[in-house]
Amino acid sequence: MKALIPSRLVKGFAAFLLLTSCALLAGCPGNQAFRGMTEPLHAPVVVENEDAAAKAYRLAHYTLDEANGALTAANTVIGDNAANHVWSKKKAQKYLDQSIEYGKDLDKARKTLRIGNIADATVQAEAAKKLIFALQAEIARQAGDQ
Amino acid sequence: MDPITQAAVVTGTAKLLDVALNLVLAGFERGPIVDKVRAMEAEGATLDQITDALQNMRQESEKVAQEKIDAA
Repeated sequence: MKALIPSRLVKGFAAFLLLTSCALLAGCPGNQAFRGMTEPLHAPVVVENEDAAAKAYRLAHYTLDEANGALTAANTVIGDNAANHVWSKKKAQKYLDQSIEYGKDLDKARKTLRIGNIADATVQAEAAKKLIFALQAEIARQAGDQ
Repeated sequence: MDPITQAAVVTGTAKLLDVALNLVLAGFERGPIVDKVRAMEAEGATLDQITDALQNMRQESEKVAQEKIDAA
């Protein structure tokens, strides 16, 4: 237990300090983390005279982009956790395999959107996005476990 | 507080802090992606161009993660 407490608590305490101090300091690199956690990938836009089809097309892209961005971030954490021996290779491979499967779902949705089937592409991308966010939450929960 | 409860509290707190740390890490990784998309938007990139760029970035991240796992 003694060996366990310092590494985990120190790591977690560092994260806590980072979160609180960066909430106070504008321009701190930690704001990158806040932006990354809270901001949508696309800047909010007001498109005048946008018809329903154009809006659906734009939102389908946004959904695909958010899902691709989330998987990219997840893959980086998976790779870093393996490289730093935070996780076993087996565990990291399990999560990467899952991530690659979801990536294939996104590739399918992208092809569907490319041929103009906006409704189906949106449904496919939304379904994949839900699974991807669940995977992200699972990865966060698994932090530190071997 | 008895030792068993103390141990449970310490373990639970450490776990929560671990989760917080990984969320921060994920935030750090996503931040540059937000910047890239905003930069492409500012340059007038089309929705297709942005989506393709993010798809390529994700596929590249799969390869990089696999290389890191193989090397670990």
